[in-house]
Amino acid sequence: MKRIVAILLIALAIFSFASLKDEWMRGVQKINSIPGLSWRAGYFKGLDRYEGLASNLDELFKKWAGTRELPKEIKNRFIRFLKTSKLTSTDDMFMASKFLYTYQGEELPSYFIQVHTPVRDQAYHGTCWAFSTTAVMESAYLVQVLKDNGESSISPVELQKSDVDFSEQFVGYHDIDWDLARYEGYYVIQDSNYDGGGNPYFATYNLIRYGIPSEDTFPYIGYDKSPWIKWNPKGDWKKTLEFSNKTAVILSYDDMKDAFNMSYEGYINTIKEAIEKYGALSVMYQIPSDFYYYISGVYTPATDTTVGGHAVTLVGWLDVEALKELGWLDESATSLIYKDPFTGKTNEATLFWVIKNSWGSSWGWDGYYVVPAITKEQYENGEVARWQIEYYWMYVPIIGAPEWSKADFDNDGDVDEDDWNALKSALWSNDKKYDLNGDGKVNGNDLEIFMRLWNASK
Amino acid sequence: MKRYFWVLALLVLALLLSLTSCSQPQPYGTIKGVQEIYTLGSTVTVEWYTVNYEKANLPYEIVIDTPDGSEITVPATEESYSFVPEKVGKYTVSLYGGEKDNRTLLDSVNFFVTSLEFVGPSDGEIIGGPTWDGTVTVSWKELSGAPVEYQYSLDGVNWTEVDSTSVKLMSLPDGNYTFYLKIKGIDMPPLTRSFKVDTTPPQLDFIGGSREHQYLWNGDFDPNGRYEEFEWSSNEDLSYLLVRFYLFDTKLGMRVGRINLVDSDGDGIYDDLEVLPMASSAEHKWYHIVTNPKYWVMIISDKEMYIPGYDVDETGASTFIGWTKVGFSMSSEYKLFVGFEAYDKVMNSTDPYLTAYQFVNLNERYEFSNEPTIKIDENSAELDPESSKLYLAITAKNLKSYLSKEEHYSSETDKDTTFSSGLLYMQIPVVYSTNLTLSNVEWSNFWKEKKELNYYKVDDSASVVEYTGGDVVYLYKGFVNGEDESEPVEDTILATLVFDINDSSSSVASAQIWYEGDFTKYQNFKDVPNVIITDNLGRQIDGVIVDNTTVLVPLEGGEK
Repeated sequence: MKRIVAILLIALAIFSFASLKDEWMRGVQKINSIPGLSWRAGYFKGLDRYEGLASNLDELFKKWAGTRELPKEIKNRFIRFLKTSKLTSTDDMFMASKFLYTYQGEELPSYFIQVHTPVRDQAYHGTCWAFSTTAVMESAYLVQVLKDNGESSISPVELQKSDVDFSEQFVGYHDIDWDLARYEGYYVIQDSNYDGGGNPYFATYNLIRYGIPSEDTFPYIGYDKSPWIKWNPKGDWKKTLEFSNKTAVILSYDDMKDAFNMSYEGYINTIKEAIEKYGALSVMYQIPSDFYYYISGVYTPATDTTVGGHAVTLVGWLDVEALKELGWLDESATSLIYKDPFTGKTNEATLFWVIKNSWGSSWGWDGYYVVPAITKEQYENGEVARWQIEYYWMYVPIIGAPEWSKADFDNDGDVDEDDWNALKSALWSNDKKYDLNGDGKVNGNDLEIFMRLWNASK
Repeated sequence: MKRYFWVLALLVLALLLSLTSCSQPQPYGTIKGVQEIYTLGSTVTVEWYTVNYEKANLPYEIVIDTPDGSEITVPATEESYSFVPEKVGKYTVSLYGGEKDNRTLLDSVNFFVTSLEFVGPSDGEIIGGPTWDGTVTVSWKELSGAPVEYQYSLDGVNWTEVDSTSVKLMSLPDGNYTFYLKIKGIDMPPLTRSFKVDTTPPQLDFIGGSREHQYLWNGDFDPNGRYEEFEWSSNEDLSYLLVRFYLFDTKLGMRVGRINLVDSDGDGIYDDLEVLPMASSAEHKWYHIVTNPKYWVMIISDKEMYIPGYDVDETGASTFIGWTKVGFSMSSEYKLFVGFEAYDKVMNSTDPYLTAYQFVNLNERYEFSNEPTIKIDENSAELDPESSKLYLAITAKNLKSYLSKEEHYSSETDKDTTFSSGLLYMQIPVVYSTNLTLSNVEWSNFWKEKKELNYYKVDDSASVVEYTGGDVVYLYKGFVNGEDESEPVEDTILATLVFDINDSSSSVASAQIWYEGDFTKYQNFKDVPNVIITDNLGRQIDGVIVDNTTVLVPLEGGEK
């Protein structure tokens, strides 16, 4: 009798795993039978690790879609005193820690991959937002602190660097309490480590206020069913803390267009220049339900349903020639033409984003995927679906400050009162000499950097 | 081949038949509106619906067979028929269509007439509660007036005979029951009556905003933040829920005080607390949560609370609590202990000695009273009528003490440590009414042993005036390495704004530290429209409160 029960249990276990795998393969076959699709679906080799965690793909996909969209209450509102005075970490601080980045006119290559760290695996938690935030901090550290830089490449794997590895667990632990925030109309922001999805808007601020320790002192716990992101110190994490100073923000395409009168070219170049100058960008999108099966090519949805929000890392861009080199476009092609089921419109893309995911390197194109960028026509007519990253804000941490000599405006070997007076008279101008953070304008953010450079020169 | 012939022939026949029926409408009709059981003496109304009646002029008829074998026949020219049955038993209503000799039974429905009528308990009644004697009496009336024998059952299978019109049920455990009753010897479905026995107190589950334990159990708590938000849900509907507050000494592991809310100025808003000794339980108030007590949210912080309930006094008069102006202070030694007493619909309640309870642990890097706050100090407003000048001070209370600690955490167990590396820079945007012109900013030497670099600049562009309603002055202040020119003279003042009053007819002037809530509106400003305050690593210093109350200064008569 015992033997029969054991056999039954084993059969059940095999069957339940097989059904997850079968479900996946059914999805693959369905997608690959669609004629003219610009990407290929395939088996995800990491699927066996989810045995016993997810009972079906729907459950797994929802877990992976762990980014919460910023509520419009946060994006669009005026705060009144009675509300704001209740807070200790207030949204004016979040905002003051961010600055809008715009294109500063640097010459940009036609294709480019920024240095970044290897593809990680968020496993069975909704922590994509923490992985994206950590990934951009790592890339920012490589670019801004270690002075490494990317190159024109068609292989993101080749630009992987392992000089730095920060803790996703620490970032994930410091989510906000969405229940409290929602109940309080998003006026009360308080931490929670509930695995309920997050947003880099808050997480990038935490890189400033809490900092981020190294992975080895605060390792990630992936394959468990805990609803909590646990406090998991394994060493003297405080000693390994690195901090961001500010966060450069690129608003969504419509905000950039409507609020800041930016042209399409200006917007695209803003994204590219920010990647090249500061490092990979934290971006987000809504996952179409067929996205999970992607293994190569340029992904465009063949469905009009989405599963949930997902934060990822924009590491670079490719052009048509680069896609040809990858064998993803015919030699005769001058663009990728695809129909977007969400908008019903046909788009003609010539620019493509290379994005690092956080589902392990066995997923997708060695852990990455490629999507078409917003086209000029889309930018102008507003026909942009939520699966495109331009629908959302993008973030990159700014670490440290330039050399102090940059504030020695009169080149007398010291940062002193004369330099201060010169900076004061240049305030609110566009004089690049005094634009210490390189955002195109001389304002208080530059004065703040000046104070640091003053101290550094002493 | 032969087989196909016959199939074809049948199809042709079917077609012919259908053509025939098309030319002569078939009668069709249904009976409706008949219940399964009627009480003796009540009116039964039978309704029906027929088609093709007018078109084909077909006769229809309703026939009601009664328990004594007689028939009631009604021509179905109307759409309903009402009557009062006189006999107990089974009735059959039949609807016929077509000619008398060739009529078709179109529909047939049974109903029953009973002489029984339940008296108690009422259908769905919950029986139980603290005063319940443990018995359930099910009683009914015999409407026929004749002596009758009955059968009852609690499961519809095993029947007990009884000749009285009530049954006393004993020792029923908690649960949902259906009482089946029928007249012995009469074939009809039993009458049913549902009721519930409930002697179990309601069970409350807490769902808290606590860090480690979103789902909280008695006695389980963990450091949280300044706000404790918790929800509760009950496993059954409640009459009401009572809440009260205690102080809990964590070292002693016991409750050490009882807390009441106090409205000290009688304005209807609770603004103070009184702590009573544990012995004075009679004075310890329970607050009545009556708005959907089964599931609700309560928010507690160190400066305010939201309690969705009433303070009910001895006379029964009640005051809604809602938001208070007082909260429970944060402390690592004392915790707030919230007691709940829940009453279900029959007043079973949580045991007063084992009251459901919930710890509340408020943690922040400082107490409400010590909050580092940047504000325009309205008490500093000074008006010089002779020179038409207005002075307003910007202060930073508690900032120095906050920044003097290298590490900021709220308790020994708090994991949310923030680090400070000294004050480096401040930027404060102040919007002021257009009847003022900024003539100067008098800077204070705020920070000891730091050289202070000060600057201000006014933005009076049309876009900022249109958006904010005034001009904006940005105050820039750096704290850098270098010789401190003088001793700090004032602990909290950062700068004093000196305005000229440019419109003598104005009665009021206003100023406000701007608080921009929308990042996409930064375009309206020349500089960052939020307060920047950074440390020596260039990081925004977390936890500094910016008070952006609009300060109004009366101008007429030169009074403050």
